[in-house]
Amino acid sequence: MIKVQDLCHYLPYGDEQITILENLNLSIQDGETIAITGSSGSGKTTLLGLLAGLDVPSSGSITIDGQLISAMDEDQRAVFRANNIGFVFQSFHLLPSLTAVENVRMVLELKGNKDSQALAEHYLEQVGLLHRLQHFPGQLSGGEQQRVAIARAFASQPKYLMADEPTGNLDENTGDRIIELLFDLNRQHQTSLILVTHERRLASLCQRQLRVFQGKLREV
Amino acid sequence: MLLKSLLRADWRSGDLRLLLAALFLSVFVVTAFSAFSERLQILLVGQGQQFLAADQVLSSTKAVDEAWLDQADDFDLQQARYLLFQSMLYVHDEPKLISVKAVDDGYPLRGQLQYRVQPGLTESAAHGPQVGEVWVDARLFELLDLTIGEQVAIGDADFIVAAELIAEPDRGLSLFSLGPRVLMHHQDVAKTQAVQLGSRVHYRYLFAGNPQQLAEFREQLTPLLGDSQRWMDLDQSQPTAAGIIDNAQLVFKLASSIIIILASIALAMASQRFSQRHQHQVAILKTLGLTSQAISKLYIQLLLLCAIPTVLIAVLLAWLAQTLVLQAIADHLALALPELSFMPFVLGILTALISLAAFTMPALWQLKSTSALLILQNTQSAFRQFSLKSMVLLFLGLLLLLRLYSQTWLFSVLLLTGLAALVLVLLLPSQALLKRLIRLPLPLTARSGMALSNIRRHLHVHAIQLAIFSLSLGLFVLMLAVQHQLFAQWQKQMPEQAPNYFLINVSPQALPEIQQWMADSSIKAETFYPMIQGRLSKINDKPVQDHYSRDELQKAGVNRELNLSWSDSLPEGNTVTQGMWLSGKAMDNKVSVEAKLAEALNIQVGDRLSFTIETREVIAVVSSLRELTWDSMRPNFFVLLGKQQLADFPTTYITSFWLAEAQKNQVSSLVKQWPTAILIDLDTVIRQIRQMVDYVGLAFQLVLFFVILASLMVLMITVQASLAERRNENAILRALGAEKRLITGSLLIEFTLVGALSGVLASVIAQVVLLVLQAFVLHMPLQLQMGLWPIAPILGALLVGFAGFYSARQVTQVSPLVLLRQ
Repeated sequence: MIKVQDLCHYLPYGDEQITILENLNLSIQDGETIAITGSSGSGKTTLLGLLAGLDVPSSGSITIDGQLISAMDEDQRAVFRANNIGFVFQSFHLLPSLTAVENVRMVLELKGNKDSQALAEHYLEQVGLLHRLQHFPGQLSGGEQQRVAIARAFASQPKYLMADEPTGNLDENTGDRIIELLFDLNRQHQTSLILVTHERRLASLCQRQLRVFQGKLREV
Repeated sequence: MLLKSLLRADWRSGDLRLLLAALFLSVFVVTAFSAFSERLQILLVGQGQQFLAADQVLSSTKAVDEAWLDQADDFDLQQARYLLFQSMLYVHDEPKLISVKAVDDGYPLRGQLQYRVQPGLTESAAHGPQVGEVWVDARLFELLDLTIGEQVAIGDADFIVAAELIAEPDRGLSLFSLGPRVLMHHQDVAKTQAVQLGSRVHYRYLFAGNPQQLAEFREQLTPLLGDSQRWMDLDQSQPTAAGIIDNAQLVFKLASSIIIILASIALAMASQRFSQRHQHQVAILKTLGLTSQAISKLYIQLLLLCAIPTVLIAVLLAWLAQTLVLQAIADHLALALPELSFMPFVLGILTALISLAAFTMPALWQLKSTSALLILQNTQSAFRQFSLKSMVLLFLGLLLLLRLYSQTWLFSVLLLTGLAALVLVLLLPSQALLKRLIRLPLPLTARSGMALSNIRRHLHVHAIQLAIFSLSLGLFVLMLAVQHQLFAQWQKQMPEQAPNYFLINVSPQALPEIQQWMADSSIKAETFYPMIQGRLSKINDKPVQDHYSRDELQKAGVNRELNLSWSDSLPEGNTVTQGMWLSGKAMDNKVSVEAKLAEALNIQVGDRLSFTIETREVIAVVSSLRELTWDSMRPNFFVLLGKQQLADFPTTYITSFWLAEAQKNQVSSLVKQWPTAILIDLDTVIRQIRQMVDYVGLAFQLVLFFVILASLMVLMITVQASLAERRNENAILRALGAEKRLITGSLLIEFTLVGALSGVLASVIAQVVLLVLQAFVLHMPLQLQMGLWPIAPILGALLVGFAGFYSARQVTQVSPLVLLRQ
């Protein structure tokens, strides 16, 4: 369970500070699917980054499964991410010089998994890319790259999956297939899904929708 | 496992290869160069030492205490000795004044003797004649009608002529000993009875061995030396050889430092590029849960895993390459390749360690602080190119490397701070030149227009590139210029027709006859100078011994009799540095003194000098100081007096002249007609010096190759670094319909222009540094090198243009779609 209390986040802008998020309170239950929406620059991606422990809030606290991640240092948060959180990004963020299977294997190797090759193939099979194992990201379409990213995210068997505009770089048809895959796997792996999107259609598939507006969070 | 995946990824991406290539070249160049330089110096110094036939020579007019020589044993030094004295050689009962050199079995310790037993077959030997045998100067064979195996007498003893003596390595040390040389065994001296109490004999003690042991031995012995004993140095005995070795060593030191700096800059830039291009990877790894510590460990492991074999291969190939090159040179010159110490390999590995620690690690260290947020923000870089800390480390690393090579802090600090200041200063004219270039109303084609627009967009990056290119090219041109200057200087000193014979002991009666004979034989001699021996006894009426120590007098060269002379005109090659050259009556009671002697004894124009000639005192006032070229192969004099003061003393004459190989048979008739005149053949000495200049010439060519290699490395890496962001621009341009040829052509023009501009700056730098070097280091007259000015712009345009074109081709060969996707 994720618990956010009195979260504020500011960014320096010259001599001043810009308020990005202000006094946010939020609880996310295990297995829940949540969409964070908002206009461009509203702070939704910042919130996702804070929830994932990629950054720490200016004030307030974030507790995940009883662990106060907002008080952790960078390395502690990294270890926490490795064990609990998976990511899917708008720009896929695969390593361009590794093949599809090597990209998935890498996350397994990070966790010291001895059977990384077989597992990586298994997850790529789940996303329908068994025939693309040895292809480099540059040789794959956008949809295929996102599927590799999804396979990589689930391969680490995270409890929480954070997705930042997972269909933002894809056409509608491909986007639909990716959403379907993401939700299927989410159900299959019992993962809590927190996704940032500006697409209402995608947001509507989630159990809860939260909208960030002028630094505040409200349930839709 | 993760390490293996990353290794695969990095190898494929090419960034790691670039970094390793820089490291490889850095270690390869440094190891190969220092090994090459070490061996070449051994060859050069060895060649120099041959002039002494030893590493150190102690000269004495009486036998030294044998206990001194026992000390040499304590220092593990090799020893040899010989005696020099004059005697009469009797052939068919006809006497001939000869200069005897009685050598022991150890002589020579360095170099070889050349002798001939069968006509036309010159052989070399590391020892002199056996007991009871003599080797006789080749000239005497014709003069005295001698044959091998004949019996001759020296003093009371008979000897068998075993060989014709062709060359002694240390002939230059006793050039002016009277009479042709006869070599005999040391043990035969006693039976000749030629050396008696009061005989004029020179004892020479030769030592060779470990330089440090030699220095300690010399230090221990020096305080014990008497008035008649002195160490003979290469500087005194062969100033030309010593000068060549000194200058060559200085240039090698400069060249090796330049190569180290270039290679290090290349490595630092490659490391920065590697780190910059790995930010994204690190951000992904951090997002996936890798800690900063794990990231540092991972990249350090990755680096070491690749660096260790790279360094080992580089060291091995360096050894192989320099051995092959030097073996070829040694074979060509029929020399044995000197043994190599471990030092170049230690230096190569130390270079790798220091380079990795100072140039690569800071860049990798910076990686660990990459924020994982980069992923979400989707930004390219918050990466600080060459932060202050990394610049300081780069500077310290370079300083340490330079110190390692040059062995002096002062040289390292001066060179590095000078160059660093130069780069900073160069940024200003670089930017100014580029701004001027883009405003030029050039006839624009689509390509040149795009090229200028590229320069405008990348002005800042180009300014940095221009500063670095111009420095590299400047250093390269400087090397060319220094080589050119040194060779010009040596060639000037050693022109093709430099005199190869000295004729001394010419009596006043024989003088007009010999001059006539020379004119008839078409032999052009230098001036005949009178020569009278005298000793400097007082300066301003104060005895010199009271004011100067024995060492100071020895250093000034006035602890023995000087050759005094007079001349109506300023001798060729002499330059008056103070006072005025006087001639005729004006020179009466005046004296002109060599400038270095004057400096050593603090003699000024206007001082009164007293000379003891025979038993009389001659007093003269200093009217001028002169600089001489001692190694010009012409007669040179420390002291020139007025003719009127020397006219009463018995005199002989000296001159030098050049004889072509074909004319050499004429000298025997000269010696036969005027038997008291002594002819000295300088060909061997000149040949030795020329050979040394040839070695240095070959070495310079290789040094320039290394400098070009290191410069090219820097060029390629800077071009590569700046091309990364061009990929995107080119992808967009090509997507919008720009032809591949247009983009390639514009890049070619852009880099060619930048290269040419950097060449112009390089020429300015090279010229300024050259003037400074001429004035303060090489001690040459200041001279503009206009011939070098076009080299750098042409070379810059070609090299940078080619490098840009080569890299540009790579960019345009990739589909724009792939580039846009990346």
